[in-house]
Amino acid sequence: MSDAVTQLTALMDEDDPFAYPDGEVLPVQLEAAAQRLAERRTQVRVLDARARDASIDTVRALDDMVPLLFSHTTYKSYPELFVSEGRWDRMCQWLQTLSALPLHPDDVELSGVVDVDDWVCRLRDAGHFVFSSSGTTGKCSFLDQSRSDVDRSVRLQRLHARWSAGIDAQSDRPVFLLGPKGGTSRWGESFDNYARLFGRPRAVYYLSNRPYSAAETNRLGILRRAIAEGRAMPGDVADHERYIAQREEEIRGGLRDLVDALVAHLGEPLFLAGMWSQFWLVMQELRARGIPDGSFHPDTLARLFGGRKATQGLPSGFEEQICRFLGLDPSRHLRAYGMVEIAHGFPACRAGRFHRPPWIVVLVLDRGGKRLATCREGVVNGRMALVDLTIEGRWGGLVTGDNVTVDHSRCPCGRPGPTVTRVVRYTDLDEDDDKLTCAGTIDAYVRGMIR
Amino acid sequence: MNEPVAVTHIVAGRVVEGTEVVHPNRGDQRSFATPKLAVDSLVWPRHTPGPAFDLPVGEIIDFLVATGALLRSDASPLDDALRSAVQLDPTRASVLEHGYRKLPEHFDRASLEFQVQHDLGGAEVIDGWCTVHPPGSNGCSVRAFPPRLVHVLAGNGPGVAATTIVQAALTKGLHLLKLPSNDLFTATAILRSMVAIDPEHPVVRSFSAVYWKGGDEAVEPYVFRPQWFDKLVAWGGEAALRSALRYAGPGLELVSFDPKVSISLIGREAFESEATLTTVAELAVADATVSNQESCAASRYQFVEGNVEESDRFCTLLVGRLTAFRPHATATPRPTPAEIRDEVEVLRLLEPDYRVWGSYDGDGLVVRSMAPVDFHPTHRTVNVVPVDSLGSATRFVTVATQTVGIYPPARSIELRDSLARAGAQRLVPLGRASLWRPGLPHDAMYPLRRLVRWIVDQETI
Repeated sequence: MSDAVTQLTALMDEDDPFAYPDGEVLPVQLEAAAQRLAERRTQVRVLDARARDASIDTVRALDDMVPLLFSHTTYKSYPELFVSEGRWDRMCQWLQTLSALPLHPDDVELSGVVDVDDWVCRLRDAGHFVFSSSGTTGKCSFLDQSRSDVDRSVRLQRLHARWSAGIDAQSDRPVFLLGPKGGTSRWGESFDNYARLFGRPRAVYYLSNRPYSAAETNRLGILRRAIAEGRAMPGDVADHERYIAQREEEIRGGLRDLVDALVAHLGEPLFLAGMWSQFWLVMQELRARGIPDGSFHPDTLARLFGGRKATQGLPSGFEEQICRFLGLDPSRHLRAYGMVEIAHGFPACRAGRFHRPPWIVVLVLDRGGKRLATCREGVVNGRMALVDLTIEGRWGGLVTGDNVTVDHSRCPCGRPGPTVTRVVRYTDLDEDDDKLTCAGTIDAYVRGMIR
Repeated sequence: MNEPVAVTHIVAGRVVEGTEVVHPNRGDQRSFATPKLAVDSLVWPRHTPGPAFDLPVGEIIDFLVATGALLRSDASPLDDALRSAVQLDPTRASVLEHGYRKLPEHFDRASLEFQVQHDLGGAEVIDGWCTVHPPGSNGCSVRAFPPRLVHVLAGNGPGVAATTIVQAALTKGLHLLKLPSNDLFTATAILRSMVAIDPEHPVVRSFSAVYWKGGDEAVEPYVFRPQWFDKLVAWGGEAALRSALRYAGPGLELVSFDPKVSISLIGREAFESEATLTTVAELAVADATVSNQESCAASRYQFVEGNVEESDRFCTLLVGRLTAFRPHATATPRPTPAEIRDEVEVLRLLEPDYRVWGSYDGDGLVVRSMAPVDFHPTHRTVNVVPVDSLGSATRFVTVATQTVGIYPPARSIELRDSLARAGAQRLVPLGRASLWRPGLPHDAMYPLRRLVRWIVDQETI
């Protein structure tokens, strides 16, 4: 009999890994979590410290995992100073506190590294498939992953299309990816995976061929700090503004090129992936060229995403409008609930609910993220936390900023729960609590100029 | 589920009870209920003078002194206020208890007279028209005219409500106090003391104190208008300031007590002996825990003139004393918030660049780093940074810096110009960050002088 982690990972190759009832999955998950904790504690020092602080030596129940969850802050906890002063050995030291893979600065070629993009490339050369995620704060997070983690993402992306649409990736479609080609971001990685899985050679189109740059995001944070400290001159800020405007113009140009290609392939089954907001622009451009609703091939697959923040400027009902324009059957719309910290996320079924993959433990917590919701049946609302048991490169425990409604009962699609039925970010909830204090940070003094 | 806690309103000096509007509170905290707000009752038409416009400031001082006496007495409504506040947030009990003990000090006669004299320029400038003689003129008349003000209060300590009411009363103007959800009871309790003394007193009739949720579109667009008010006085709170800015414009001026950060500068004299260092650590802790580190005056970053080894010695003493009870600090520790803990637990593993003392249970956490940390230290968290000289620490001072606690105090002479240049506003001896002396500048301004309307009647003599 194989171990619990292997058992759960093996489900990825089944036709319907989401068909198992929670009662069957949970005991295996607990066993796998205990196995992961024992292993990761010896590798991830922050996890070991956390476990010691919380006096948790193994996982016997779901509660035991609650004090062991990391957050997105954890993965961007490196001092900005290490980056601005180019102390890449220290950045390696930082990453090692969170990585499950052995990482010694001597094993990474750090000479000549000028920014975090270079640093990530060198780490990749050394077998650490680090990706970055841009925050809204101008400071990127960096998460380590192993070769097998990368392969597993590909496997899950393939699974999603097969499970949702019954379509197996055959590298035979024109693929349109509304984002940059390559770079260090998680989305860049999954775009490249889609290109390989679905893309017909020479028929893969990106919005931009300029790779995503974490250094660019971090430079924004560094500029913000320089403004706060009064070191950035007015001209520096103006230069930055001009640069942003130029990049936006570049993206508009890329968008026009992409639409040209799209028009040329319109009658074929396509694969499209990108943010709602980007696709909205594509749709406007196509409409301007006289393309009516329903001009796409019915077998076209689309992976459209983006939360409230990314879709702020769009009119209400934008999702329906776009789906109508694409003539997209719900099964062809590869929706998922997830975050960059986990391998792929919870795919949506025909009923529109997001199904918990059996290799991910769901922990619905109170608002403060401290206590587990007592109930594991029926409908529960709270802060989403989860433990991805398959991740090799780091600890898979994460507490999110999402307020979720989780239904443990059977889904209308016929599969057992738990499913996620509603997601709102806590920052979007109207819970501004009106508690005023006179204390504040310099952030209040940096305004207007930075987008 | 517990009943919502009832919040009383004061409208033009009248006590208004009622629980028609229930306001949900954050997370596990109890909700509260207020009377329904009638926006028309919150404004005073301009063509009628305010009740206190022509009251001599001496009589206002007498009334404030009487209010202070009542607040000290057994009949003080502060006990009720404390009880209600603790029902909403039990962790604030000892901060409020301490704050309420000190509250009557705001009503001391000598302090009130000093404010009128030093800040405003004397009773005569507000009691009537004063003659001035610009070059070439036979004489002009100038008066500090009573203003119409909206005060958007902060609630991190009860002192804000007391300061506001005292300053507001001294201007003789008309005042609408917008209560914050983290202090719904102090301002009302003070005003109720005034009602108890004389419900018809012109000062009482000049005040309203009500709650609405900041940004409420059913209130602010209609009330925050130059036809009703001259100035919006906002105490910190970035969101509140942004909201107030939407309404500031011609005729409605924003007076902002900005959100601030405070620091400490510790000179090498601290290392003269172990006993001295211990004393300095005590003083540093006193400054770090002002209003349980919720207030703008609370020290968050402490720059130590010494090497890493010396700084670390200071940190050890600091963390030991942080955990001890302080008069301003709550006895019930509030655990370190996750966003700080998540960063600090990684920094803890980055020795020698960083070193961390203390735990995440809220008793006290000290992080030593070679430059200020990226996060904002709160919940009894102090960031200690070694510097070659105190002068070099001024590079970390910005326009957001408010109070700078200095050890030894005499070093302020060499530092004050460069600190002020960089943005700092208030220098105190280390350990005295909580010592506010009304009548002195606050946030780089004389508040009373800023709040009144300076009117001139030219060439009348």
